[in-house]
Amino acid sequence: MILAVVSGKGGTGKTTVATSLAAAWLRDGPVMLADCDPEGPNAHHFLPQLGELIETPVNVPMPSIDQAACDLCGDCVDVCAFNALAKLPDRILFIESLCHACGGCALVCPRRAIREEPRQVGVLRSGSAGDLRFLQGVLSVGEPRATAVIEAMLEKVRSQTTAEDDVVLDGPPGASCPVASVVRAADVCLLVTEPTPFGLHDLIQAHELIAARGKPSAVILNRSRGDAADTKVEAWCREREIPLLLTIPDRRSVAEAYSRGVPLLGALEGIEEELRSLRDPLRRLADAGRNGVAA
Amino acid sequence: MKTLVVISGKGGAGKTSLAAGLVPFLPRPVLADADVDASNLPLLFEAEPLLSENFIGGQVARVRTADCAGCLDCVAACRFGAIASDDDSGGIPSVDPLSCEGCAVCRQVCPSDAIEMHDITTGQWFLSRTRFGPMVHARLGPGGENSGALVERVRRAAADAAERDDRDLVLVDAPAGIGCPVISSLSGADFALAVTEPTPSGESDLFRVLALTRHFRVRTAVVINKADLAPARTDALARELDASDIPVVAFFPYDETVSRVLSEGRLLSEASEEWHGRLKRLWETLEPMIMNSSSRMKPHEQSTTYLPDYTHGGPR
Amino acid sequence: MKICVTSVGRDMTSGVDPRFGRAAHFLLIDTETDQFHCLDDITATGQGAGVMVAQSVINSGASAVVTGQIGPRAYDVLAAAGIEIFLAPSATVGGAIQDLHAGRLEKLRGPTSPQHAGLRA
Repeated sequence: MILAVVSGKGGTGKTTVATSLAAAWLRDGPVMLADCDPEGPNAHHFLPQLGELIETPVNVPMPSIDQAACDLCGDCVDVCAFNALAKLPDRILFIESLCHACGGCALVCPRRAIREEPRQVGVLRSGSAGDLRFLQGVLSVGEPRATAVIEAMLEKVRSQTTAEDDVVLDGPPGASCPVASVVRAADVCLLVTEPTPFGLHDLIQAHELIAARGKPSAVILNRSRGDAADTKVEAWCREREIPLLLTIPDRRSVAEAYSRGVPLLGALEGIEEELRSLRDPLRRLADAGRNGVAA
Repeated sequence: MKTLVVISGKGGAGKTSLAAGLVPFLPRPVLADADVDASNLPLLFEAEPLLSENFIGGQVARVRTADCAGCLDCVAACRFGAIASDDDSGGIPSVDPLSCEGCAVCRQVCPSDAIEMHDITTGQWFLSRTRFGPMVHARLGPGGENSGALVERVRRAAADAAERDDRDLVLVDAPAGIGCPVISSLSGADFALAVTEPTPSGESDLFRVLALTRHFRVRTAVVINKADLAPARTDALARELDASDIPVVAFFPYDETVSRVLSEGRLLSEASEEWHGRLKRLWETLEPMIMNSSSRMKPHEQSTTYLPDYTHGGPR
Repeated sequence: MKICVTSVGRDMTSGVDPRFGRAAHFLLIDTETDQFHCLDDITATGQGAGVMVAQSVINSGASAVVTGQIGPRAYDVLAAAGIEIFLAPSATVGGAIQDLHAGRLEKLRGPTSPQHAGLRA
């Protein structure tokens, strides 16, 4: 099962939940945790057992123009959908920050004057500790797009796992293209929300994306105050027939533990059992999804 | 007219709540919500839309099945896995619009001229009225590409509104992270207020976003929120920032009642006298830093040389 | 020489449009003949807008641009093409041309606003 933990709103507890799930499930067998938030990779803070991580660069192919072979026909400029190329009086100029690495310019050049060369946009880190395997994508500061790093990560996840493995993807916040990539790779999505108007609003937006992909989902309500705001989330879940699997209370002690890099398992009594018990229902949702019974 | 951007790197540190809480003290502001895929500022201000416009974020490819010869060259050429054929469609490929980048490489390689590109509306932006002034906000459709461009659109519309209404300050609520929407939020800004928390995630994300503000030469100050959650960490962080000439302009306490206050539709400044006072004092500290001088950073200022290097994620 | 001025309207009495990338109009003035015309079909949206507009200006044969503010990508493309950029955010187009001839306009040596996206241009 590939489980994506997403939220819409940032800061609801995705990484806390993802790392805590992984820690709890380790009691019952191997788990891979993939930190798929390259803009703000933080899962490693909660997994001190990991030790040294091995780093490999994430490169994307970008054009390199042989100005001597170029006759300034401008076909590459015309074909580039992202305006990453400009035709100057004496040469073609490449603007890296706009490039989407699609390969279109190299393909179209009638003089074969464009070669593609790898340019680094981030790194992948990997490590393991016992039955836990860990992967993390990091976007280099200044690079605009996290998607290339996420896709590289997901490819590595696919190549290193089989259908029998349980993989937890700690997803990015929001509901735009980085989240879309993570949701696409998942069999089931777990939405972590909080009982505030922001939490619910963003939950709905993230769920739209999951539903558009036809993936099954479930919800965890974090930082519950046990008041009327919970009811709004519960009502929405009921209305959409989405299981609300767990409600985690709002405790200062949990926040303090978090500030020490201690996830839920060290901070809330009984949470380990509750998280372990989520594995089967999530697997069932994942199977149902793969068999076309979803959203 | 000045632009103040509220950033954090880390989601959930309190960026939007603090930004909104500052609004009542700002001089004739225009509000801009740059967090286009999780737009929350309008919720806090009961924004009434005055006008809205669709946003065309790019293009999507489409296969004209009648012209397709089934060669599948497009499938091989697409780097984003956005075009695929399956047995159900009789070998004719189809495009997944959610994955399509709009690069048109498929159209380029198609020998049968069977692929066409269409503009897609990936979102909408709005100019709204709030009790404190105009607000520009947007909604990116699910899985939308090019959120940086939509943020740019929001920023332009906010600057236009400020010019029209003769307003002195644009307050931009940026998203979490360091990607293109954050970069677009920071572009041309006069000042950045970074909200952080004394946690491992809060700190590492803060250092990454500070590397951005340093590069863009946007003068930055920091608020350490939930400071009493980990006093020793807060002290250490404040000292580290101080060593790099990044002022810590406020320390706010962890307050369990904030969540409920926001859920009841109140601003942080309306939560209690204490919060009112804190936010008022914060603006009084910031006002001279932002409104009076030319705040563009000089090269030797805020060098962050002493901060740990988080360009590639930081110490492991 | 040909000078491109970003403009709010379509003639020389119009005010200079301060924003290069999203200017309402682009007037191309030939200083030898004093003729001018409006460069049409310069519309740009999205993150490559500045580059697209800069490309159109290069294609027009302009050797100088007069505007109010310009982002880094557009600046880099124009600078790489050897096109000089002058600032006149609050003049009329005609007035800006006169100021340019009299050497009263500030010449830009870098973009007025920092990069919109990405550190490596």
